[in-house]
Amino acid sequence: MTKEIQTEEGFCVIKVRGILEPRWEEWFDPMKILIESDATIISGYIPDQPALTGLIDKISDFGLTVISIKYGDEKNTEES
Amino acid sequence: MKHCPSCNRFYSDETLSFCLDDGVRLVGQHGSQSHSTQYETARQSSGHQILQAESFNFSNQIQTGQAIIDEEKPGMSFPQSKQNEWASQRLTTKLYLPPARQTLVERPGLLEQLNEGLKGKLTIISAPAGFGKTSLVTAWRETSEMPLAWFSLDEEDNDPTRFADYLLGALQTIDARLAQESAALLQISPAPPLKIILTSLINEICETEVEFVVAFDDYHVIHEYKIHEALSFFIERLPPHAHTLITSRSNPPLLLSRLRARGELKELRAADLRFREAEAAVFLNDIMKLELESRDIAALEERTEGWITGLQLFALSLLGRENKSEFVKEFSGDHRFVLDYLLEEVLNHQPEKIQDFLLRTSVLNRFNGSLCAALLENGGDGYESLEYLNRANLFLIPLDNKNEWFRYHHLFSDLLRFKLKQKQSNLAAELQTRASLWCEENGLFEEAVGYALAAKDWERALNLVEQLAFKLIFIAKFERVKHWVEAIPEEALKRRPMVCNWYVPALLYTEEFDKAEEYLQVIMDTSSEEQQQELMSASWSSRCYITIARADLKKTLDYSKKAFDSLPPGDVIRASLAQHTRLGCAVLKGDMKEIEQAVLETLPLDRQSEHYYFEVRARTILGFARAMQGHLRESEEILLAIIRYAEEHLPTRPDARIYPHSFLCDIYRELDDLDNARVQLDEALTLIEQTERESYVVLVSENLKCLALTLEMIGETKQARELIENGLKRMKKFGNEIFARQLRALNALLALRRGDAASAGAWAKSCGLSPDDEPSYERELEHLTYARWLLATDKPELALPLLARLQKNAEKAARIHVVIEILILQALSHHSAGSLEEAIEKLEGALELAKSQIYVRSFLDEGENMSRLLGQSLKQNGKRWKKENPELLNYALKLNEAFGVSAPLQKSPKPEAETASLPWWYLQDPLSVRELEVLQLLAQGLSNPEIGTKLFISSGTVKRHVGKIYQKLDVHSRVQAVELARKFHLIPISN
Repeated sequence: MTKEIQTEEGFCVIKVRGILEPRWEEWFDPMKILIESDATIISGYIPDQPALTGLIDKISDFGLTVISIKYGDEKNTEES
Repeated sequence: MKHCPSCNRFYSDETLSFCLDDGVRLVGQHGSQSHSTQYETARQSSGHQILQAESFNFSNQIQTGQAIIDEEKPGMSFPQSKQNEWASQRLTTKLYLPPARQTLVERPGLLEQLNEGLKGKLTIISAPAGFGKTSLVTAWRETSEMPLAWFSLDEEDNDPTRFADYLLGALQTIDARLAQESAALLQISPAPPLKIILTSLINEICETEVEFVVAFDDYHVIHEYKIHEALSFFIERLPPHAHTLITSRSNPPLLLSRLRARGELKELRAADLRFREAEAAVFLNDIMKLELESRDIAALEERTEGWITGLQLFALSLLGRENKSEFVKEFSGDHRFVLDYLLEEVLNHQPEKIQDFLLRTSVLNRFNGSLCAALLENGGDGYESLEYLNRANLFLIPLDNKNEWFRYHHLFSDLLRFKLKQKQSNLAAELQTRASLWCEENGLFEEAVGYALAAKDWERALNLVEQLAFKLIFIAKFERVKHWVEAIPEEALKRRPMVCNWYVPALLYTEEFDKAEEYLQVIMDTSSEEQQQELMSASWSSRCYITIARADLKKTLDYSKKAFDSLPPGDVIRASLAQHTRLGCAVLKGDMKEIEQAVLETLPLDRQSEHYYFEVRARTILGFARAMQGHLRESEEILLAIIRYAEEHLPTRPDARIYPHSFLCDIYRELDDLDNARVQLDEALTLIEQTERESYVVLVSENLKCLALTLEMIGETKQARELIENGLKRMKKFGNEIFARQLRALNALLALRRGDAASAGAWAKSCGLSPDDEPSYERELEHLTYARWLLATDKPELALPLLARLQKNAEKAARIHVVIEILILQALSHHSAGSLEEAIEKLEGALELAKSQIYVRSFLDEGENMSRLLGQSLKQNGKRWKKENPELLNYALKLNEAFGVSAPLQKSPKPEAETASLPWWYLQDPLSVRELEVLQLLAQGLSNPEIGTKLFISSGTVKRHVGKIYQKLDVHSRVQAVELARKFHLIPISN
């Protein structure tokens, strides 16, 4: 099964290893959490680069392992 | 205990209260009769501090302004206003590396790697939270003899000054004598840029022999670019016996390419730090006594990926469980995020009382039993729970060796805070407010403010700031006040005129005038009638400060009058502020007599209110006025005395000495005493660089003119231009077009001096001046430059009428210095127009005014034309002068002789030729002429003080030059510097 993730201006999709319970969504506010088999997708609009680095810091402080990051105005469709 | 700077003693809180104005003073009310003034600070029921001047008597005991100027040894009876204890209030816990727990897993391989790394300049331990970075350092310390300076960073350390302060503190834990000079630099306000402090520190480290490591823990909290830059610079230039260690959750953004290239950088990363299976086995079975089977250990190791905190949490959640293997299986098969899973397990296993304790205390950055108790419901016992946590090994990190202060493991406290928020979203703020209260009661004021701000309890924060601000403003810690006040929403702040009243001086200090005006308006609009009485006069004086900076004379006069009209009776401090607005008016008018009068009136008030900064300002302006009136020697005396006085009484505000040095520079230049002029120039430029400020908002153009003319004369054209460029930027920020125009004229004047007719012409065409203009002081520099340009372009007939009007205007305001210049220009104009008689008459006038003080450069700088005119005058009038005015003849002869000697201006020797063989980085930032001179003397084996004596500069200035030489040549010692300099022919091979 392929899932299409559309990335557009300011939209950010970060995939981390492991399952993060949805109750952690608030921790990553305003990002949304989506569980996908044995990984978790954290996604949402990020206003600028400092916000992006802040989010990545938060994720790594949390001990999560990042698998992939998509950010920006790529209009093409990604497979995952 | 509090320190009273006016009598240099300590007093308890009850007996000492404070007052202040414009960052100036602090007065005691502790019954000491030796105080020249006594103030009473009444604590109102609201906690506001209100200032009332009590007894002061204008006519009796007060020194007159003249007596103050004439003092042989100024201020003998006036104690120095030293920094109070505030400045050195470091949290020692930040410099303390907790001892190793008995239960650490031994990791000899890693220790060996670390030891290897610490032979080089920098070792970075970079891994996410919970990989045992700090523990590794702790373990290393147990095995190594090398002294370790520990600096545990937090968010607040993004303030470069605080960063420097703690770094020095950390080094002083190794040897209290270390870094003394750098620490002295930090006492200055504003503190010099971090890079300058670190340069000084490198020099001090170079002088020590002891090998040591300085460790920066949790460096990832630093995001201030200036710190990254300065620290990179610091690490690169450390001598071989100093090593640095950085622990960080992310790669520190330092500039490391050179270190990496030289193999002086060692990195330990997560992959190096993670527990291997064998280590996990030691930890789980030997230390935690879990008796797990090896396949369980392997499964755990895989599931946690060797993440130490994960294993630790797992061990904690296993404690007391029956079927361990079952749990391992469950855990390994689960895909949930390790930390989430385990934390739940650990917390749920704790007694409810402990769970509650953990959640509540998670809002604290550091805590002891008493502080914890303040946050607990129903008076729970903080000590008991802390002891339990300590025994249970629940992520508690001791911050001292008395088991008094602790903090939580960062990751743990982050998660606890999050849980607290989820459980009771409003509780955090309430707890932070309670923490703030406890800190206030226990004298930890800065932390009290921090918690109040975190709780968004603005009223509480404002109350605290209102109490603290004046002390901080007094010791010129303007940035701290700004930092706090600006964390509070405007609406809340604007309801508090008393706090705004402390915020304004901070804004004036940083020259944010628009904002200062906004808050002055707030004070005016929101203060009660009673507050108005107290605040109005100072508010009008502050407004004057701004209008003076904008050279708006009309408004300044108006506001100055209002400042006097609203002066609270008997308030000497506000009277001094108001009097200075009058002085500002006189300076803007350029009337030397009026300036003198204003200075004489303000000095007794400044002195009586121990307002040293203002006193220095007033006396400096007097020195300027005397020079303007043609009394160079007297001015020199005044300025030299004021520098000594400022060094003694205002060690924390070196920017106050900038103008005296630059005015002295101009006097020595005029007297053709180039050595002394350069000494003063050097001091002024050093201070400007060190303080990153220019001085007072008045006399900006005059100051820059003094410095730029001397720089131009010694061939440092580029530096002169930069100085003026910075001045222009400052004026643009002020919205001061009048001074900006003066500075553009100054640029044109320098261009004319260089013979750069094109630049001067471009200015003349765009400046909007005309030979028919009416003269005024604010345009005097422009008009004089314009007249010079007319003369240079062969239009003396246009210059002459303008000069005649300028002369009248300058004479009226006693600006004799300018009159001399005008007479000279008139003489040259007549000469150029072919009327020798008139030319000689004007020259005679100039000589007559200049002879007693022996002006030199005013004549010499006019060059060939003046030389010819002087020769012709001597020929024609020599006999008459000999009879009627032998002094004048003598003087004219001396000048004539001087023309013979130094007709071409001294140009500085520039390094040439060999530059091709120099390394590329040198060419980007070559040594200045002064630095080359210092280098030459270094090569002769002279010490800093000896070089200072030779070059007539302070040994501090020599040190600064030496530091720059090291930096530019990328060396660490004199020997290396001299070697390199000889190799590249920067100095002669044999010396």
